[in-house]
Amino acid sequence: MHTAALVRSSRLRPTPNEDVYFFVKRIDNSRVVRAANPRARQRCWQFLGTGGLITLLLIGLFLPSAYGLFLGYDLEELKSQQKRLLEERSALELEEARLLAPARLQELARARELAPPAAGRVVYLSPGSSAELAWNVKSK
Amino acid sequence: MEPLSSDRAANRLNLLVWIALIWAVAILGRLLDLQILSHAELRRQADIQHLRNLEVRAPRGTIFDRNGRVLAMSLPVDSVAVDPRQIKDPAVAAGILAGVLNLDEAALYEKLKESSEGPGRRGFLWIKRKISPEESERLRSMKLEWVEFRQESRRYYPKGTLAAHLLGGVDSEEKGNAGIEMALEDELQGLPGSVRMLTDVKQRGYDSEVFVEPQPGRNLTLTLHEGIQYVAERELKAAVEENNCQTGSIVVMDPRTGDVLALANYPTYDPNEPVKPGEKEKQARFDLAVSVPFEPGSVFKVITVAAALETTPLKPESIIPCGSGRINLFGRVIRDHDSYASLSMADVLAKSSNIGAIQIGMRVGDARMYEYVRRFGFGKATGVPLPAESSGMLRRVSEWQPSSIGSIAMGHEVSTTTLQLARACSVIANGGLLVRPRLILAHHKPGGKPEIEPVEEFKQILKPETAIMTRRMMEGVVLHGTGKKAHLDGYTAGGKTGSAQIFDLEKKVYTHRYNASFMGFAPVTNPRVVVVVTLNGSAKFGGAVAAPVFREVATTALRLLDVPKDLPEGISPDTNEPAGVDDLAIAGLSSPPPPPPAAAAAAGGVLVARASSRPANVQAVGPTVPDFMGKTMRAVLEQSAALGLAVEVQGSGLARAQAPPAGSLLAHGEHVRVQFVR
Repeated sequence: MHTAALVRSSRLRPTPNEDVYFFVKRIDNSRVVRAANPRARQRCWQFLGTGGLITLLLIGLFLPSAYGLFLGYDLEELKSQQKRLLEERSALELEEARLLAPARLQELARARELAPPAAGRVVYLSPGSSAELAWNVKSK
Repeated sequence: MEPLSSDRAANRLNLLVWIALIWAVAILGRLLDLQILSHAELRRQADIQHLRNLEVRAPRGTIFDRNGRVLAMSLPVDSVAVDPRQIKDPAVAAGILAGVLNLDEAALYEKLKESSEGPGRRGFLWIKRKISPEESERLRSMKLEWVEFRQESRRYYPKGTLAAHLLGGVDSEEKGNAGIEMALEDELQGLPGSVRMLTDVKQRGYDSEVFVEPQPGRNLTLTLHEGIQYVAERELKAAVEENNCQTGSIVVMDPRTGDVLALANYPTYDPNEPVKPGEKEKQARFDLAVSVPFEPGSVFKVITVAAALETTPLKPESIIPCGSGRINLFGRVIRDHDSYASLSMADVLAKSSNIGAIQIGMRVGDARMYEYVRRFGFGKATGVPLPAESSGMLRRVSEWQPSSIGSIAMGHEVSTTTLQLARACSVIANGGLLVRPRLILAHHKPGGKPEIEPVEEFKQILKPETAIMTRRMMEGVVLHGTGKKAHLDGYTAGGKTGSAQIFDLEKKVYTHRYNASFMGFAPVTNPRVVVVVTLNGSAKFGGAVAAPVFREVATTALRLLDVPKDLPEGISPDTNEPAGVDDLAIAGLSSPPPPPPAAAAAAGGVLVARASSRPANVQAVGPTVPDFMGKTMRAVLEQSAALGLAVEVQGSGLARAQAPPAGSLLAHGEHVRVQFVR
C-alpha cells in the first residue's frame, strides 16, 4: 500500500492539451500573386500629396511670421544699438566741448609759451594783392 | 453573424462620434472661457509677462554759441534705487553701495533699515541719483539683483563757469532755475514718450510700438561768442580782483543787430555744481548786468549831450560856461573835480565836467531830457529773454525836483543796468537806431531747419548826424579825455568813463568807493562792437580801472570778428597831457525815492549812490589825505586818482600847500585843495 502510494505520488501531473500534437505542414503559395489595385495606390498618392500640400501651405503661412519674429529681434537689437551709439556720440560731443574750452586752451597755450600776435606781426592782405605774401614766395 | 457584427460597428462609431462631439464641446467651452469670459484677466496676465512699457527719453535741448560750440547739453545717466524688501542684510547692502557710490555707510544703513522694516517699510528707495558712468559700470559689474538702475538725464555745462549767468542752470528734475534755461524752459524741455515692447521669456524685445511720440527739446543757438565771452570774463575777474572791487559786469554787443556777444558778471559760479547754502554763493548767482540797476554816473553825460545836439542849437564846439569849477544850483554850491572857466561841449564830455553837463542839461530842459532818456530805453526793460530783468529807475518829470535836471545830466537820480547802457551806447554807434538786445540767434526743431530769430525793426530815436557827432565827441574822450586808457592799438575807439559814489546803507554815508564804468565802441567809423564795463566798489575812477578792461575786451572782440584795423598799429594817444581820469559825478543834489531792493541785495547792503541829499550825519570815513607837498601836478593827480580822491588844483609847478592837511580823514564830498607854485 505504501509502495503503491509512493508510485502514484511520483507521477507528474498531466499538462493541459498534453494529448494534442503539432506538426509542420508545408504549403506552397508561390503561385499566389497579389492583384494590382490602382485605386488604392491612387488614394495613397492623393493622401501623400494632400499631406504635403497642407504642410507646404502651413509652412508658407507661418514662415513669414517666424521670419518676422527673428527680424523683430534683430530690429530691436539695432534700435538699442542706435540709441547707445547716439548716446556715445553725445558723450563724445560733450568731451570735445570740454577739451575745447577756452580756459583749457589758454592753459595749454601758456604751457607751450604761445601768445597772441604782437602789434605789427599780423599782415592784412588787401583784396587786390596777390597771394605771394601769404605763401611767402617771391614774385617771378 | 453579419448583422450582429454590423450593429456593433455602428454602435462603436456612434460612441466615437459622441466622444468627439463632447470633446469638441469641451474645447469650445474652454475657448469660450479663454477668449471671452476670462479674456480681460488673461490679457492682463499676458501683458505682465511679455509686454513692457518703456519710457523714451526726450533730451533737453542743447545750447550752442553763435559758432555752434556746445555751451550746455544733456546726457542720459543712471540713477540707483533698491527694493528694500528684497535686501536680506541691510548692513551688507549698505557696505557695498556706500563703497561703490561714495556714500556715508552709516546713514545709508539707517535708511535701508528704516525702509525694510517697521512702519516705514516700502518697496522703493533711491540710493543715489545721476551717478557717474564709472560708478554705474562698477555697480553693474556686481550684478546685484536687488539693485535697480533707472535712466535719467543730467545737464552738463562743459565750459564750466563760462556764461554761467546767461545760461543759468537746472534743478535736480532738470527744470531751468535761472538764466536762459529758466526763461526758455518750455522750448528747451523735452516731453518723454513711451514705447510698448513685446518681450520673450528672456525679456528680449522682438517687437515694439511707439505709444506716445517723444518730443525732444529744441536746440538753441545763442548770439554769444565763446571767445569774446571768455576774454570778457577773464578781464573782468582780473580787474575786480586787482582793484579790490566787490562786483563787476560786462556786456559786449553788436550795435548793428543788438546781438549780445558776451555778458559776464563777477563773482561767478559753476552751473555744474548744485546750489550751495551761503550768502556769498547766493550773490555769485546774481545776474548783475541784467537784474541789478545802478547809478551810471558820468557815462550818462553822453545821453545829455545827444539830447542837447538834437534839441538845442548847441554844437560840439559850442562853449559851455563851467564857472571855474563852481556853480550855484538852487542855493547849493557845486564844485567840479577840475576848475574850468569854460569848455567846448566836446570837451565837457572829454573832461567829464559835471558843471558843464549840468549847464547842458539845463539848456535841454526837464521835459525834453526826460523824453530823450526814455527814448534811449532807460526806465523800461529791454525785453531780453532772461528772468528778473530790471527796468532800472527813471522818475516821471512830475516827480523831479528842481535840481533833478542837474543830477540826471550827470547820471544820478536814474538807475540803469549794464545791458541798458550797452543798448544806449549802441544807439550812438549805429547811427541813432534803438536796437533790442538779441540773445537767441536761432531755434532748431529736431530734424528741421534752424529758424533764425528775426531782428526786430529798429526805431530811429536820434538823427544819424547827431549820432555821428556824438560818436566823434566820444572818440575825443579816448584821445584826449578821461578815457585814454581805452585807446586800442590799430583801431579807432570812442567811449565815456563814469564814476558814481556808492552810498553805504548801514552807515548812511557816501563812501569813497565808486561804481566805476566805461562804455565805448570801436571802430569809430563803423562800430562793430559796443562794450560796457562796470566795476562796483572800486577805489579808482572808471577811466583808471574800467577803460583798460574795455581795451582788452574790445581788441580781442574785433580780432575774433575779423574786423579790419583802421589805424596803423603802435599809435598811442597823446601822453604829454596828464592822464586825467577824474570823472566823478556829483551825487546828492536832490532827494530820490527809496532804492530798489534788487540793487540793495546785490550790493550786499552797500547801495550805489542814488543822488540823494547829503545825509545829515555825514562823517569823515576816509580815505586819509596823503601828503602832496613838493610833488608835481601829474604825480598828485595820479596819486589822488589811485586813492579815489577828488583834488582841486590851483596854479602850476610843485605842490606847496594843501587843505585838509596830510593824515586827516575826508568827509563825503570833500575835496583836497592843492596849491602849486613854481
